[in-house]
Amino acid sequence: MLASLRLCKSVARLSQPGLGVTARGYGSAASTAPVPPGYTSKEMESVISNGQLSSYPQVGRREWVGHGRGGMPNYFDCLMFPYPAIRFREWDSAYEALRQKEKGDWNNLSIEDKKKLYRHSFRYTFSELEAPTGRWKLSIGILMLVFSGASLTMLFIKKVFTPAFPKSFDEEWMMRSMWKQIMIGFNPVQGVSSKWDYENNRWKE
Amino acid sequence: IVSYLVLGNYFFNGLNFFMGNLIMFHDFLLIICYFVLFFILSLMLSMVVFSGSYFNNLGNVVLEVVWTVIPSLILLGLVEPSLTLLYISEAFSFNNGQVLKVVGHQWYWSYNSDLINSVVQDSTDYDSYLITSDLVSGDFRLLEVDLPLVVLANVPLYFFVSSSDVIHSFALPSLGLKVDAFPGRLNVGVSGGVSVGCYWGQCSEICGANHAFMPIGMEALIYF
Repeated sequence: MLASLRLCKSVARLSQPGLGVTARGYGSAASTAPVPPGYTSKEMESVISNGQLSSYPQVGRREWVGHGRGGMPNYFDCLMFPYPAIRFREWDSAYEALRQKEKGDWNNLSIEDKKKLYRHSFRYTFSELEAPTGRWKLSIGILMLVFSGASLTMLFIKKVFTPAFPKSFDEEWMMRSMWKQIMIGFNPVQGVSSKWDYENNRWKE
Repeated sequence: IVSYLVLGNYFFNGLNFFMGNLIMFHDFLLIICYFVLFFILSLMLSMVVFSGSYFNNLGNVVLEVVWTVIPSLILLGLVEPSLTLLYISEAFSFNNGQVLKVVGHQWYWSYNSDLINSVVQDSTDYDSYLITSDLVSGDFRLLEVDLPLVVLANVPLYFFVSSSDVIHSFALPSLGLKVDAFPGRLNVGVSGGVSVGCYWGQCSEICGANHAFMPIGMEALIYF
């Protein structure tokens, strides 16, 4: 249940306005959509490697841009490997137009263009990656639930199913027993007898 | 006996040269253990608390040499007290002390004490049972014994321990002693001189239904 909740949340995040992704997620466009140059069947044999060829069904029309985390074309948002192997979104003609614009003077790019370029290649910014999720509260909460359940069970068992103490646990018996220990000098180094002042017959200060 | 209420050492105080040294060695070892523990804990906590990448330096020969040499030096430092104690516990000759014969039965001990033999003529082995009824207020409930093992104080003690039926174990934790009692075998446990007083122990090898109810009581006296 928690896994499906997480999936719904991630899909909901993707479906926010302005990101241009439907609820079906990425990688689901029709096969008649345009492809970047070099990815058609005739050119695939000569331009792309066997690895790219074999990963095409999963990667779709996302460009393979680097080594990434493991070498294979998988997208990971990771602080330790900041540059994933493939872009986040699939290639399309609008993006190609932006790339051509990017080849020119960068002062011509508006803020929205720059954000679109970033969001095409990456899913989250670093601040979004490092943002606190608050999931630790769930962990602590479940821990406390389990701990309280176990404690209540144990308390119940101890209250109902334990027999009475033997006679030697009466207050007076235990005091006499301690007096006996002092008298025989039990544990004279660090224990009971070391805390008794034998000259004055009282506890040491 | 009431030692669980005291924050501190959970051993019986060492009333013997051997046990005292053993306790000091144990404290020394614990210091080293705590040092290692807290060092590793702090490293692990720093990995959890501080965000950062840990894939920068995936091999360091100097580090590996250091963390091989330093533990071996620690272990070398532990050799001296450990081996000394080991050899002390074995170094004795049966010339100058008390010979005490202990035989374990189900579920009592029987003793033959040098001191009693020298005082009483025609003395034989005597049995030592746990006292279950007639306990006076203040007695130690599972340790009081009707006929304790009587011993001379300040004189080396040689315990010759055997058993008549099943395996028992003669244990006196204040003296650092635990001598197993096998049927058909004689084992020796040695203690240096003990001061005047009462010493208790309990059978330390499972021997049946009343294994928990056959304590060892020893009284050390001065004979004059």
